[in-house]
Amino acid sequence: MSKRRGRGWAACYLKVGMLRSQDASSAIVELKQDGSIVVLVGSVEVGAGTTTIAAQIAAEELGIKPEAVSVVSGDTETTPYDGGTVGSRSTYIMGNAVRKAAGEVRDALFQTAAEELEVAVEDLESRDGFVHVRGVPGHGLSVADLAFLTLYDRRRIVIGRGTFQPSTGRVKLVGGRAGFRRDASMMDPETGQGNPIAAFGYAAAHAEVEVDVETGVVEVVRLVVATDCGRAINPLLLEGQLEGAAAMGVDHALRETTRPQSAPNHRLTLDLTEYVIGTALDMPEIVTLIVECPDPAGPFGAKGAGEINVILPGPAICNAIYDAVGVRITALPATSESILSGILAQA
Amino acid sequence: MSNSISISFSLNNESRSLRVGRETLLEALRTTLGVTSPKRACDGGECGACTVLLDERPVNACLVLAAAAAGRRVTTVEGLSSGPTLHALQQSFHEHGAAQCGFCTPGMLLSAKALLDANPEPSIAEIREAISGNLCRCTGYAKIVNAIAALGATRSGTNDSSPLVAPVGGSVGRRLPRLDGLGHVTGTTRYTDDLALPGMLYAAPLYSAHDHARIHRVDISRGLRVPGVAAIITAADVPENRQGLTVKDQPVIADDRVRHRGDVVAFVAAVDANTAAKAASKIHVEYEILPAVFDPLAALDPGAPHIHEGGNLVPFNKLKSIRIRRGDVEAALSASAVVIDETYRTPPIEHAALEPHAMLAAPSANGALTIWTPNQVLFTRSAEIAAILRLPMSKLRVIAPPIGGGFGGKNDVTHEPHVALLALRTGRPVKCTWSRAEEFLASSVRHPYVMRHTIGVARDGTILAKLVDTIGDAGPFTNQSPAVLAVHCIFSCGPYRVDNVSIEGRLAYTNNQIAGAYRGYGVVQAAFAVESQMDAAAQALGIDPLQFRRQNALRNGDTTPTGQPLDAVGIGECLDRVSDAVGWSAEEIGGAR
Repeated sequence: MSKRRGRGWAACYLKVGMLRSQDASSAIVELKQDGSIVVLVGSVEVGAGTTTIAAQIAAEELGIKPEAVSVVSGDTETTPYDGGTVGSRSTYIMGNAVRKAAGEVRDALFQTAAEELEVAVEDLESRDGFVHVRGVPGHGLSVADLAFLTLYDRRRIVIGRGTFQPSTGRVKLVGGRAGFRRDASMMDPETGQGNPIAAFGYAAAHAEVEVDVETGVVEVVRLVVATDCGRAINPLLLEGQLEGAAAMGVDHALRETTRPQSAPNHRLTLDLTEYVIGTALDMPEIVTLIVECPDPAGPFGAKGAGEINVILPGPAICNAIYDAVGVRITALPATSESILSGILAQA
Repeated sequence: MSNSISISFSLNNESRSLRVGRETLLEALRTTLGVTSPKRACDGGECGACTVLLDERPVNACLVLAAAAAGRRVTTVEGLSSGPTLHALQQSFHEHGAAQCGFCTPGMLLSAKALLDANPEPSIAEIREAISGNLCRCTGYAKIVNAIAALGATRSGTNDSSPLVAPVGGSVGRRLPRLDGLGHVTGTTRYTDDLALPGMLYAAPLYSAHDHARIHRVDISRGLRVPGVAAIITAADVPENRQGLTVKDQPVIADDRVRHRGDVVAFVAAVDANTAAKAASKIHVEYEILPAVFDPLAALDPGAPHIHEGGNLVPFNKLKSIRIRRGDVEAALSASAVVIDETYRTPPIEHAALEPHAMLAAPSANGALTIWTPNQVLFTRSAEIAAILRLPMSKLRVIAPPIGGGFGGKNDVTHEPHVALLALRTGRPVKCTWSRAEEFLASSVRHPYVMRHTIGVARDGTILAKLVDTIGDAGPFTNQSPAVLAVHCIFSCGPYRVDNVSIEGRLAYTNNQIAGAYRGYGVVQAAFAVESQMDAAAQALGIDPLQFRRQNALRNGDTTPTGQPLDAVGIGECLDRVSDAVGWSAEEIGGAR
């Protein structure tokens, strides 16, 4: 057979949040008359499921079902400040802001419940839309009744507010009215020492490949990636991020460049015929494993995991190629031409 | 007009009649009939986002003339469900998380329907084949294939897995289908290009004809004479014609110079997109071509053509590089049993989100302006846009409709200021949607890096030292290149304990596409170098590559190269889980050779 199998490892870690002092998100949670809530966040929905995560975190904090939550997002006039739906930051940073805002609403409901039930606030808990005395599930009031009592009987409008700013370095502004410029460095300019990162995610990967020694063509047989997300707020959506990022990493490893090595000086790739991204036929079997090492400052322990799986397929596949045919790829993508020329150079 | 004809066809089981000329079926559906579920994403039949069924067959509506639909049945995703009842495929896509950004979903569903109509119980291979004309950049296809396969399995009565197993009570941890998912599977999610306002104009840019040139004159008079043109703006029309996140070095519209092919020289608004593009092509620009440079190393040569007045080395708060140093690298390298020194390169990579950039601006009577843009960094960018327009932020509302994939590619200010200025000039809403070609011209790419890594390892497998020298290609403007490089440098030792570290990163301006944020933000490049070298070192030492990584992996209480202490470190558990899943045994490595 002209095909050889190889296996390769790779591991990485990645920041959560942005490398800047001002990296806040904020949220507003408004209680409606029937106990449902509206969450306002300045995050945008880019497909990763950020708005669903906002709903689930708010619902968890209030002890209601996520179906009783609606989310308004991404509007500079109607939603509060957000640093951006980027950098694996939304679940961690926006999520903390939403949790705080929902917590204020919960506190108001608990206050009403404590008065109605004549118990201490500390003795209450909330679950499935029902606030009850801890350990006495039957003894309580529905969130819907509490909302009504709070809004109409107590005449108290409940709007929860939350902001979250990671405890990274402090901003140093340079300049004046013409425009403040951030002093980007939260690290010592000479030594780079400092604490610029909000939180970290981790991942490890193993790739198994088959290389055709006559053509240099690589087939990725199976890619396994384990990713530490702290806590999976929504495993279905998390898997989508992990699978999609890993698949993008496979494209990066084998196919993608706007400046082909065959024409290194300059070439514009102007369409998706020349610039190939993988179809359903090109994608290998990708196994994603969820690891949960809770971050003490993350909402319910969550870190961020929108980006990290794109990192490892490249090196894991290249290490597997080396294991298979002894060719060390030092320039991505690992095209069949570069592998074949490496094989020929050995002979 | 003599070259238009009347046609009748069935659209989702309703008969329709219209006059069509040479427009495609996609244009007729989206523009004439307002059916926006078939998406425009490549204009070349390559992505499948515009897939519709013509009779029973899936076709790319961008490749079919509208006239060809005469007398036939056209089905879009709206034709799948009947009223509020979803088609089983739509339900399955929703429950399996097969739609992420949702932009490819309508086309994907129609290809899947055509498959299941012809073959009710397809194999996995048949499913993959059937959707291979539909690109998805979000999912990696796994959940899409599962969603289709589950339906085949249901029909054959073998479906025993429920995708919606919810933990008892609680919200966190639930496999909840996304809240916006029903919009995606029914085609009712409205992305920016799906929005249309009364009296709306369409805008088209004129891009630079050269990689690097001086501009002597821009003459818009012939463009203005094209019937249907409402306005053309040039550099003189931009109130604050410099933008940039850290350094304001990028003209909104080029004035004295162009520095890459994606630089805008003029911007046209007209009654339709074709007229705008035609007028843009009539604009006359006198250029003086300057030498260009495309390689970051060559750009730092003393004789290289300067792209900015200060030269081609990107400044970092007045410094020439980013540096991270601790310990004594030289001593540690000389104490090492194995030293490996290798240079690694990574290429420029497009984000290639299925949804192209699009932006719509609408003025209101009180002088305020609303912009709809699929921008991932709404609040920071709205401040930048307001500064360019010299509008108080109270007069500028920026809304992000659902975004059809970003991956960092929609982080920057692109043509929002241009449509805004044209809207203010004409008093009418103005929309601009990029073609796929424009995506490859004017958007940003992942930074190409040249990375020299030197690792020193003791005989027992302990990493003693790491020396890293990275040179990055920023493209012609600073943008967020310093931040990306800083992150790259911080992570240039990988998830391992290294006490002696010397990392330096520099950036060069080139005449290539602008480099910007991209999923993994500098760490994709770093990990390629780090992990390739980890393998080479393990091999040189004769150590199992997994054991080598475990031995050096970060633990709670360790610090990063910048000295930041770590807790909740999950790398060890990640390695264990993968090892278990693949049944790792050390002897197998190298078995093929």
